[in-house]
Amino acid sequence: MLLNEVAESVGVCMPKLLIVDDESDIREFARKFFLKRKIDVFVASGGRQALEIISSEKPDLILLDVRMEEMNGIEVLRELHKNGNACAKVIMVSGVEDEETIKEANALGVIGYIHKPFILEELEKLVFNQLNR
Amino acid sequence: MFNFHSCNFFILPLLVSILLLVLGIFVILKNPKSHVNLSFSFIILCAAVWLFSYARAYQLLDSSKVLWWFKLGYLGIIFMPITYYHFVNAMLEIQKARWVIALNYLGGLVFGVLVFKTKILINGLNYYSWGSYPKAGIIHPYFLTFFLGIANIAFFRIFYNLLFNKQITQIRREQLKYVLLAFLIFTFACIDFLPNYGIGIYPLGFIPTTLFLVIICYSIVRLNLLDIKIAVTRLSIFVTVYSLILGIPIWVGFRLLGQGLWLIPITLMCIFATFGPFIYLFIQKQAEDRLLKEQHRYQATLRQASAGMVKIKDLNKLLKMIVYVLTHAIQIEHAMVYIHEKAKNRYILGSAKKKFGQGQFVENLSEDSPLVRLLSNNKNQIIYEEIKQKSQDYKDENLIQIAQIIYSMGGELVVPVYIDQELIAMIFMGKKESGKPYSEDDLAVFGILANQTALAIENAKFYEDMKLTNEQLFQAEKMATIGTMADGLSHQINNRFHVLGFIAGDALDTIQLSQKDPTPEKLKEVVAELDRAFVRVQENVVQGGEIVQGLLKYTRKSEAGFTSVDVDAVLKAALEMLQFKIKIDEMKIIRGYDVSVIPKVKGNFTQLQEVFFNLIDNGYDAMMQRKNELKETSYVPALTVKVFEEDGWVKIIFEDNGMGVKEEDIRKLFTPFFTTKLSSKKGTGLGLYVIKKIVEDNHRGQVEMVSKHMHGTQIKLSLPIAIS
Repeated sequence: MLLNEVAESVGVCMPKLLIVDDESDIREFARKFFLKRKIDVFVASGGRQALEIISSEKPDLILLDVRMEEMNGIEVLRELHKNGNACAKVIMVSGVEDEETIKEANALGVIGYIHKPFILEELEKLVFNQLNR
Repeated sequence: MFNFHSCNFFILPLLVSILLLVLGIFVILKNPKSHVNLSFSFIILCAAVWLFSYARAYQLLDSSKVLWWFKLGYLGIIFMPITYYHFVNAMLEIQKARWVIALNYLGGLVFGVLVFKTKILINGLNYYSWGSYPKAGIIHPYFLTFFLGIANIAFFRIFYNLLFNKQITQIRREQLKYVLLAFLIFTFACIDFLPNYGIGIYPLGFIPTTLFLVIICYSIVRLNLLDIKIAVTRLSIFVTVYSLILGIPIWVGFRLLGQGLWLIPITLMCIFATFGPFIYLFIQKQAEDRLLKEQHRYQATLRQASAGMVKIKDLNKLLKMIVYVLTHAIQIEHAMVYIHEKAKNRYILGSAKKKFGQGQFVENLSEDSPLVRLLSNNKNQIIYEEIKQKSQDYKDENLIQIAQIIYSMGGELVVPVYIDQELIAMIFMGKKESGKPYSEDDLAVFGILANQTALAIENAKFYEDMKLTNEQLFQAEKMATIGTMADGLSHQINNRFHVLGFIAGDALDTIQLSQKDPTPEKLKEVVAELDRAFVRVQENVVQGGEIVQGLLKYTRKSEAGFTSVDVDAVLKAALEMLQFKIKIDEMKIIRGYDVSVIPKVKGNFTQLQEVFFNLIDNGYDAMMQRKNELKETSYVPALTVKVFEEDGWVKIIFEDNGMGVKEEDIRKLFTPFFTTKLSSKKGTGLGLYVIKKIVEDNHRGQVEMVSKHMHGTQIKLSLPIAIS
């Protein structure tokens, strides 16, 4: 409900959220959840699709899964960094990642982490925090 | 012809009497408890008394004393047939004749008194050119009847028992045959009675008597007698050959005596004597070959079998082969092999065969059994008949037990098998079908068999141990591989929980929201959403379950044994596990075969899955390496799998277009713990080593590798084809 207030405070323009994950169920249920909170949700199943949506829609917040089949989250970050897209706010969604990955993600400017598995409630709080900044 | 002076002649009988006494003492010491030995020594005593007394008589010139010595000697003569009869009874183990024996001794005593106190048995002396000799008295013919009568009754008893008494052991039989032979020789000794009646023939009777005694002595002292046919043959050949060798020169010598050409016979003698042994051996071999043709035949078979045994690697097959050879080639009624099972302190029946019909065989024998202890201490083969005889002769409790054990197991011969002083097996053999006893030659061949068996058993056991070690190695390698899949696996399972959480979270959210707007339409929507949610829950649970199942199946110890394996199924299974380790989508997998026509492999599914897993994994790494290092723009990583039949084998080829391997590294790749992969996440270093062991050791197949650096690698497996 907090997010609804946020949406209203911003005005007509709904916040844009991009969820990048290769699991279809994740995309489906996360999207359902956030749509009810009047957030415009975009989904991408892989890195390439994610980059397309980022450049066309310019989402306010990106939830980026690290482990994906053809192009993983780190590679996406590198691309964004190359294209100078530092404005993109990215939260890494990771499983059990090693130090190297975390270090690199930090270097590429992620604003936060969340480790799987987590419940939607937690995610809601995190997204709210970020969108309110 | 011969010129003997009484004073010189006595030497020979004197020497012989001393010899006989020594023989008698030896026989008694050999087995003090045996009736047979004891009664035989009595005969010897009598003979010794006779010869010694007569020797004294020949030596002395004073008439009165001479007669006394002859009379003393006659005591020996009187009691000889009596003790002989006693001895024969002991050999035949007849209990009821005891009173007859006692009667005989009584009769002997009577005659003895008659000799000394009266003149009716010995009436003074006869005088011959060669010396004096006791003169027969009035009742001497009756004494002679008594003497010959008892001796002949004994002879016929032996004869009768040999023919009709089935209870006599084989060994005893052989001994009795010798006794008969000896007796026939003894009959020549009766010429000694002629000088008693005034016929002046020289009393050389002590020579056949000595022979008689020596032969009997041989037969009772040695339990394992030379086959009597062989003994007689050898003796006859020897006598014939040597009488020719010595006879001809001597005859020639006498013919030429007048001319004084002694040189000729002596030269002849030397020549013959040199060639004598060779002629003897040659004739002996010919004769024995004929006599022993049968025996030599199966001994040759046994030697061949022994040589082939070492090649058999399967312990059970080996034991089966041994009993088969024994029962069929050697014509033995039944044969059993017992193998040492250290863990359970016993010897367990490995294999048994009865030539005709089914058999009940003893299952196992404890390490503590007296039989086992005897074999462990005394490394000789055991012949049942011998042990039985010994146990009766020596009245040894331990031997009696052992004989019992062997009898209850149906064995006639026990051949022990040793490695390094340790008894690792026992081969039991039943009677020969022909009924003949086991000869010395047989035992020698069985000795060879035992040695070869020892080596073959060690070989088979080693091979089994090696297989076990290999099993442990494979399992270890699989566990190590799982380590490399840990990331992929845990990600997958983690995702399941994550998804379930999201579905639940959204469902809860939906329910909460519905409370604000509880209209029937809204509720319908909610129910529909929840329905969808639970469907997804189930899906994810099933998916998670499959991953866990797949992993468990992979980690489970592979069942030993071979089945008819579908190569395509193995490939699928391997890829299923591989997805947790690598990104299979990054390469093309080309199946260069038609699933419906490919031949099946005779092998172990789990082991082959491991082989494929490792090969594809290696191919993937090679291709990724090429992709990252060479960075060719049009490079498409592709792995081709071909399956076909060739020369009765199933050939499987894994070909990748990866980085390839340098020539000098190819061989190293197959050694354990060598890996070109960078981290333990990627490689265990055991992959190709295990592949080689699985394919070559377990499946008796082949692994060949061909590689061109920077172009690709081809691995060719040859596996046995499954015959449906």
